[in-house]
Amino acid sequence: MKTLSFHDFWAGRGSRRLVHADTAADGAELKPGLTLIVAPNGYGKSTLLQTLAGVLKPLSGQIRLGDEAFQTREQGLYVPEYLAFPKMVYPREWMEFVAGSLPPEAEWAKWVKALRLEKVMNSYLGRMSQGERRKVTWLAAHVATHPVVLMDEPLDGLDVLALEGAREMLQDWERRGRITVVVAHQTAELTPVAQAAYLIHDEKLVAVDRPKGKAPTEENLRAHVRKLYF
Amino acid sequence: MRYIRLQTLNGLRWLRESILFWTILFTVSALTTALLLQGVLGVVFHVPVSWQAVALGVGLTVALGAVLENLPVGAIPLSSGIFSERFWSRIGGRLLPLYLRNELRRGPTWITLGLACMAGAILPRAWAPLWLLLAQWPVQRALHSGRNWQRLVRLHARGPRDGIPNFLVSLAVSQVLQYLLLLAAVWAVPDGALAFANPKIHLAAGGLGAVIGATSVAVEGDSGRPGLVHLISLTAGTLWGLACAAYPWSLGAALYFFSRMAATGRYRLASVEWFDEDTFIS
Repeated sequence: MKTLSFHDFWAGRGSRRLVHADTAADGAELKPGLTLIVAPNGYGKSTLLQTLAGVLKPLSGQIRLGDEAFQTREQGLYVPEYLAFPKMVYPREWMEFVAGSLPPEAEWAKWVKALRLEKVMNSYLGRMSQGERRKVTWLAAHVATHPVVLMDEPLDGLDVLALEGAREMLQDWERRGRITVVVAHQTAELTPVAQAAYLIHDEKLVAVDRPKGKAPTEENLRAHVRKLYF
Repeated sequence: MRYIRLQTLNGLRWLRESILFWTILFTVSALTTALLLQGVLGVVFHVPVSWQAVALGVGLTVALGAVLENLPVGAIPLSSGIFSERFWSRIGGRLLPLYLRNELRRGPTWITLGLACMAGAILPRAWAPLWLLLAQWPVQRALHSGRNWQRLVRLHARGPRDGIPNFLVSLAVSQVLQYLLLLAAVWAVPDGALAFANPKIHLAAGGLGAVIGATSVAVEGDSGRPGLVHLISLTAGTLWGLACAAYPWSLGAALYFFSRMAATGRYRLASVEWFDEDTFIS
């Protein structure tokens, strides 16, 4: 299983340095499964994600996927918080655009049901609700073959039924060995399926302690937030 | 009372920000273009064109695009598969099929094309050179969604580096297809704009050059006032249109210019300010 490691890596905007990570020095690395990134506004969560996605250039340093340099645009799929869609396009066409090619429907039909999208698959994106469009981004991320998925506030607009589908999808990606990084403010829905969580503090990625051999819980994530920021 | 005050303040600020700037800029641009073009068109086409006609043509070209783009009309239910997706994706990557699907399903696309066909069919002899402006109607309309497409490609279609060239190729292919439809329709009209040109191929090449030139600069001007791109595009399109009408072999140079502009798009930085709200491209 490949991991995403950092080598004296700085993310920021313009000349402003926001987040530093160095796997050798502080152990910050992203493993297959879901990793949550949590921090108050303005600490550089989205900047970090956009830099991993290749939308912004790193200020310095390197990111490696396994033993090779991480090809941001080819290997990382960015799902932004704010959506940009053409209105007159069907969900299948959007999925094909994001993924490059669309696999046979039998491979993803299950997730259309899990996300409760059956009724709108033949509607234009412009005629869908915000939540439905958000679900299409999940579906598109699922059919894509990128080994790393970077999602910024992906739960915005999802209804309670789709949340369950999204959690199942995250577990399916983990079984496929996919590295998923999610930036979120409301973490309670995701901690049950997260493998790791990091907070951004003093421009560094700080790992949330995990109960032995287990994933971080919402309780110890909140305890860390209180300890670091209050 | 507070609501009315707020609305009035908002309205006045909009007026100050938009109307005054655009009225002055547009008037100066239209009159300058008209005065310059009047002489050049006369020399190139051997037809005297009044500056009032050119000013009207420039005004219509810029204003119609804005009006037509925002028409509340529905979509044409064209299904996937009729856009020759595999062929187009070889030329313009995976963005081109998506762009064509969205663009060719939209009502404003076909209304603009229909109006351009009608105008081309009834253009009087003395105004025939204005074909170069008429050919740019669809480009001017499409430019209104250009900023949103730029944001989309920066986020999804291979990012800042390759997104802009992909967008320019998609826009150009879509516009050339629309121009060829316009050309075929007007060519068939016995007394249409092309009938007055001698030979017809010169004016046809001029229109194509105008479309290529206008799309080449579709991502320019975004650091200045929003909308500046329309005037830059009109200028580039008209100059290339004139060059190609006078010397049809200039089409090769127009294509080269396009390829250079697309290549320089690679080095444009992503603008962070664009990522703070949802964008829907109608």
